[in-house]
Amino acid sequence: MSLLEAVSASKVFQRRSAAGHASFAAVSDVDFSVSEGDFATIVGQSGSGKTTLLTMLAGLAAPTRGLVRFRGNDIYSLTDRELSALRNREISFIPQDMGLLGNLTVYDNIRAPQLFAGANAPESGRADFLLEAVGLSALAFEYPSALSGGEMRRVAIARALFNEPAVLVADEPTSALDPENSRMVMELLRAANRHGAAVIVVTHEAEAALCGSIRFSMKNGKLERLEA
Amino acid sequence: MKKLTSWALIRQNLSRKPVRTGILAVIVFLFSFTLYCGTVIGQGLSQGTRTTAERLGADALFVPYGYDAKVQSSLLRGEPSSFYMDRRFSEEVRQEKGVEKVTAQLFIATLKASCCTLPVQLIGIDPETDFVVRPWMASAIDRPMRDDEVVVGSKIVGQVGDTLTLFGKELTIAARLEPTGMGFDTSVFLEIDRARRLLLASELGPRLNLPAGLDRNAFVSSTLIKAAPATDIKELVNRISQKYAAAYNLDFVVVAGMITDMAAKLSFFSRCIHVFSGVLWVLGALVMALVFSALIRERKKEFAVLRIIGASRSALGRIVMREALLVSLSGAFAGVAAAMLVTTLFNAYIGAVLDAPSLEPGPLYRLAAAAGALLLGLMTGPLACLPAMRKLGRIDAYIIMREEL
Ligand SMILES: Nc1ncnc2c1ncn2[C@@H]1O[C@H](COP(=O)(O)OP(=O)(O)OP(=O)(O)O)[C@@H](O)[C@H]1O
Ligand SMILES: [Mg+2]
Repeated sequence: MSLLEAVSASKVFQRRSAAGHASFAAVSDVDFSVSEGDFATIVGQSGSGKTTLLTMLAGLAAPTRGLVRFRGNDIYSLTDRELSALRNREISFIPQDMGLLGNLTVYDNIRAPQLFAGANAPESGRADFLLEAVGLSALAFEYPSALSGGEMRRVAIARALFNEPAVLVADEPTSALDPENSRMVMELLRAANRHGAAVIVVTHEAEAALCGSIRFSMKNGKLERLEA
Repeated sequence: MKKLTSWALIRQNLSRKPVRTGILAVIVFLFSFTLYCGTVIGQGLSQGTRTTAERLGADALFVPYGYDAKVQSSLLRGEPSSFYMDRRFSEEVRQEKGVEKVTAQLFIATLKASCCTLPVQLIGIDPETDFVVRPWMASAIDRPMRDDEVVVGSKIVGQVGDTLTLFGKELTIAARLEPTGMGFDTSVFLEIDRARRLLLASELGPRLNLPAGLDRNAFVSSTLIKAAPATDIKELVNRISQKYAAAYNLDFVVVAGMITDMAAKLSFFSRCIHVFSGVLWVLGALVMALVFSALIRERKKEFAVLRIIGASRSALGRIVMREALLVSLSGAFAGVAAAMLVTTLFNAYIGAVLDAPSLEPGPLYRLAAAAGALLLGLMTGPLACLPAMRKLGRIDAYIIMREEL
């Protein structure tokens, strides 16, 4: 059974044009599905709609048409509180620009999901464990501004894993990284996948894309499944 | 280690951006400061005017020629002065038509009272005819003043029953006056004949430069007149002046006019203060709204990140509101505290500068003003945040973030 799926999902934006506003479908009629244990990769040109699709899957932007379901439930029919709780516990999103909180230390960034998890949030000790796992224990009390791009990615991944989500959605986690760092990041995602999280990754890199158990390509808002 | 709380996040957000936090706090500070100062100074002024107008029961004052300005400053600001005229004028003028009450007072300047560091105005009053000082005393003493007793103004130190040394004589404080906002606050009152004898017996006595022909046992400083109801005071004063001016070398002050002049000056000034603090209030609220919405726009990405990790709209709103509240709290408290200090310290000074009596409003009024300024100050931050937050709440979390990229 599918864990997270999009059913004929479209996202239409109003674009400014010479003749006023024109509709533009960044994502059109996409069907997509991951099950537990899946590692999905999506490749595609810039502007093809990858980020737009991911944000719909991650509970951050409602599709204009179609549905997004998590464990069979339409997530955009939930209340804002319920959907927020879902983002907090089940669907973690790692944005393209990493999105660390500049006023918090690396350590606090990693355990920041505690803020909205209520009483059943994991203890802070999990942040120590994750820091160790991403190899950044020495930087625990630095602020994000002092980190390199690769280090920031790893912090963002650690944070996304804090509440042990069912799905990890990563938007170009290896962009602008050297091969060494890229491999390290992909290895972290694979490890998360081995530990039970379904992973959805958008990437530009052919090598990274190959590690997917299911692979997709996106073009002009259309998603196409690639054969293994 | 304990779990991360939103208070910890708020603390970090505020302390990691000291300049931003400081600027916001200063805006709220100025806001509360002006609000309190405006209210209290305005109230003090109008209260001062009212008290003077209501309580100086005389309609006109006659003094020796050339001393009309002097008596005004003496009466209103308590500046010691000494000038003398014949007592018989008060007996004669009593017969004039339209005159209801007449009383004489003797002003003696002394810097040597044991009580005070400030100059003290010693005022001899006639307990038999007095209608000017009595209304204040009535609440303090209900029998005629004995001639070894004094009544002191509200700013003179000393309890009822204490003694006061004036010109080497010990006198007992029989009563204190309520605050009047006039020179009476720094005056000591005693029986007029006793006052004259004290003056003559003192080292000032031999040097006393009385105008020629003035009886050493029957001089006074001013004669106060209360007109009968429905009397034209101007006409009355003109009539009296024409009849007696030459014989007694008189000058006069129409009290109503004096008060009106001052009241006009004051009410104009306090209206200015009110308008000014009103304008500042609106301006402050506007600036706050602009600053906060600019800040929120600038922090869109930060807020989007919080949404990504699971903040609901209301949780995010709570964090922003609490931040604004904390900043406002520190600014408003500091602003009101500073304003209370400043108004208290400069109350007397302000009165002197404005050439008008000044009264600090009572503690209850000040407390209410403080509470009001505090509350409005506290509210500004969160209120100013509302529109921007509301706008953010309507947009998809991720779109908010994209707009920033
Ligand atoms: N809020 C928006 N309003 C209007 N158009 C938008 C908006 N967001 C995205 N688009 C448009 O939708 C299209 C797809 O954008 P998207 O960010 O999903 O592309 P992408 O595949 O992630 O590209 P990249 O690889 O460069 O990140 C783009 O042409 C973009 O201009
Ligand atoms: Mg993208």
